[in-house]
Amino acid sequence: MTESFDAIVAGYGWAGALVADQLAGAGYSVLVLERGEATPPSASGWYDREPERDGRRWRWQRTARDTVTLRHTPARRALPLRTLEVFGSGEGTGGSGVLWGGTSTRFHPDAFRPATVHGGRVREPANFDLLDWAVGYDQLEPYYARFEGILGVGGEPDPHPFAGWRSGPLPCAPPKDDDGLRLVRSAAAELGYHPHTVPAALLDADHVNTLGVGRSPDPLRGTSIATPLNTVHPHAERTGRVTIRTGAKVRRVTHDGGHARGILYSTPAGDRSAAAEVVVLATWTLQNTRLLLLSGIGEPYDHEAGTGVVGRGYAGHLSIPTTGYFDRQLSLPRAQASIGFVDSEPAGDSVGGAFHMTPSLGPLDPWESLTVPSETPAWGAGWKDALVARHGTKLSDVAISEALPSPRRFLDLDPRYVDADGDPLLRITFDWTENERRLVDRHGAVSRRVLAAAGASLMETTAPAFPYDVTRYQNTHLVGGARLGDDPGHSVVDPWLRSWQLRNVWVVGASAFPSASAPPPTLTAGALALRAADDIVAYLSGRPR
Amino acid sequence: MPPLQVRQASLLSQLFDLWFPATADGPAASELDVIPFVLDRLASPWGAGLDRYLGEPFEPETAGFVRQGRESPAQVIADGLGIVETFLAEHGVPAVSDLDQPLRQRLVEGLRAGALGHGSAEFFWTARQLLLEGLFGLPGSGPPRPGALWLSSSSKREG
Repeated sequence: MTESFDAIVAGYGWAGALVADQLAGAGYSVLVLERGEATPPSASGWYDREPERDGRRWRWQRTARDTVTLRHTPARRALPLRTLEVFGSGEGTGGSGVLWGGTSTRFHPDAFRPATVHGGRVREPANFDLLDWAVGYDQLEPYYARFEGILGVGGEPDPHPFAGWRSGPLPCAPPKDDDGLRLVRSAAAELGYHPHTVPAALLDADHVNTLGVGRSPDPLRGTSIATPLNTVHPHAERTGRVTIRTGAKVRRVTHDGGHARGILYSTPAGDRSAAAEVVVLATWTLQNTRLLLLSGIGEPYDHEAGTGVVGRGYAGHLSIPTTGYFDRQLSLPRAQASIGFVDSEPAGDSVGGAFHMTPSLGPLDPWESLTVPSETPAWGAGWKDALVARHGTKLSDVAISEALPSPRRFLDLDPRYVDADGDPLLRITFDWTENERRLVDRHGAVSRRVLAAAGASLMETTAPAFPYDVTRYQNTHLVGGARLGDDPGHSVVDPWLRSWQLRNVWVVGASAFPSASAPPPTLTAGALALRAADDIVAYLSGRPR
Repeated sequence: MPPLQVRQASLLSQLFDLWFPATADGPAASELDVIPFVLDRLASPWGAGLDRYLGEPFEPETAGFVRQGRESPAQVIADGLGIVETFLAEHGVPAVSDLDQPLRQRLVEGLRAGALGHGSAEFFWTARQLLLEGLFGLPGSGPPRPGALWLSSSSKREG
């Protein structure tokens, strides 16, 4: 017999946990299907000292079962990412929410109007696929505030000039600057920027969030970090209305007559199905898009004809790290924090600003200390001597800039490669453009100027390789594929993230972003998830908006 | 079955000591307990290639793309050690430490550039990654390794 619930939520990262919690809190029964394992609890939220299981990266997506393929242009044949290097999606309860860095910056109000803001500046309009959001900052502000309360975001009380208005202050104070961060703050200010402690879900004191869930700093790192498991999950569990099933990989949304009926999912014991009034896809950007394509929901994007919507608007971030080497040891930070500033001045032909951030150099992870100047020998005594000499003398400023949507960047199903269940893999068509080359030049130079002013004697920018290189980590800020909008002809979901085609399906997460802006996406994805949850509750209660 | 024979493990250890030798700053790789760690890694599902996507078809290598070959990391290491053994035999020496400096340079740079035969570059980068993991631990997981403790204690950084 098929099980039945008020709602099925696919995926239990930030988006899935927030929606499941809100629905359960409103009195509805929720089945959560999570492809990975149950992640053990961690009060501090840090998992980096967990014993490793089954080889490397046990909390990352298991590529042996399921991965993606990638090609740089439509003319090329896609190859599978047999291991994930360039980004790292999570797996298991907590999802990528137990892998993130905690940065919780709101988007600027203009970020919701990319077509309006950038449309007149682009040199080759045919290379861009810009779409305004159909949700504005003012509409999202209450949800930003709610999610900040759940996360326990720490930050400075006064917004910097690039922040939108706030209905209230951030809930927590930021960790104090350490030696390195003081240098960068002072240098960025001297150069005319507006440095500030980057709002983050990192706290150096015990904290109880707005859901009544507490967390404590890790004694070695000096901070706690919010994850779905130490902020939302205990609250959801207390309702007694959330059933979490791990090892359950969603394969299809089942539907007929324009209405979703439930979910087909695979388990180690074979395929299962479950029925529900409402289906919520919260399986991260790539998997959300793939499930829509596999389930036949929405018209697939055809890049040649310029028709269709599912898979269109795939975009993300360009990370440009610059390391500054100092001639002295910097003292160890006592807590994790970052100094950031925004560089939004139009420059030359490049389109898009950057969000710069310099994180504390962590005391625990020696890999953060292995960077040495590029002219250092790659092996032998010279390399070893440099490791010692440079240990604790470095700061890294990372400029995060926007890779804008383009008609040549999209997602569809791969015609050759399949996953362990026999379902086609998702195919990514993506490469950097000339605009990103210009952004690397511009923002790498800004980082070097700031680090030099901070006292670094050598600055080196690690420019992303062109063409797009999938052997090195970039970031996991992937967006689009199921974009929101107010016109079904140009979007997959409405402004509440509700599918235009199946009105009892919501597609939640950064897949709905029409563009990436510059700050990391988690805070905005969570705010949109809370807003979608309000819409789902209204639907289930028979009082649709 | 162990991923490497004793002879192969010894050869890998010699290579690691060439890359991370004993200096005034501290011990060589072999003194920092690297080889047992690396053998465990090669015997793990990762070493056996079981955490990689193995769907067909396998296409030729493409620059800037993650490795497409069928071989597991353990096989890559075993094949690469065969290349190193051949190099030593060609120069009539039994051990890496018996090579003079120019030949050491030729060996390592030849591996790195992929100039010593099919799979030599892949061996270099896989072995180098294993050396780093053996010295410093896996990125973001597991207890600190002896190399990480050595690096912290060698630094003059203030707490």
